[in-house]
Amino acid sequence: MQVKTTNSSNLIVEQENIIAFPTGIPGFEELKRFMLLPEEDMDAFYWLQSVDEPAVAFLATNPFIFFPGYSFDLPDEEIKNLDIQNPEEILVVNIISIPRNRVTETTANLVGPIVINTRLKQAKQVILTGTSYSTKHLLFTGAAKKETSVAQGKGETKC
Amino acid sequence: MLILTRKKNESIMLGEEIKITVLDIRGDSIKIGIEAPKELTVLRSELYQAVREENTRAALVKQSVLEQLRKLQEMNKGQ
Repeated sequence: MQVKTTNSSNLIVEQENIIAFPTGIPGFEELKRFMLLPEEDMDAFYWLQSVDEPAVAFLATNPFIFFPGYSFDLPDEEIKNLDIQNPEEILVVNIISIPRNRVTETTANLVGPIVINTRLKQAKQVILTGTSYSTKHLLFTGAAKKETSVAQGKGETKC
Repeated sequence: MLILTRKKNESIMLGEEIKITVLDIRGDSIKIGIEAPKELTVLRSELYQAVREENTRAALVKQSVLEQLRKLQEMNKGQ
């Protein structure tokens, strides 16, 4: 099977690399199959590429690299839904958004982690309740501050 | 949309397993109790909507910004 990806290269899909999203992803409920493709030379980033809709791919990150204190309780119902038997079979990635291609304003959605059962190749975007996380957490806080201070006419770069 | 009028302490059943009870009414706020099977996710709809909108925005991220992102990540590491 071949899939045309957003960077217009053809990708051979091995059945075993397909991750099932039985309920889709909010906003893309009809897309039930994705692949997690590591971005070359960037250890913290992945493309979550739709198998069924080549135009849809999300950039995602390993949250623990940018947000070392990130933690949440996986609700019991999600442990059951994803049939998780062992914490070691869980992989968490978070979708990234870049407003108007301004990379300094890159944010990660920490309230909606993608939780993958690597044993079953099954996943879900879990929406966390009762946490202070939101859909937008800046990845590069230093860079954003630096750019802001330049924009305000203060040429100093202290960070 | 089905519209039902309920008073305080009255309930609605959705199927046989989901029960929604009006617990309290104060001004324009209503406290609702939900009894549902554990495997069912119960969410405030605005949170679901926020995630949905964020996903829609995220799907617009293009391959072409990666080079910039890579540089920024390296700068960040260097600090």
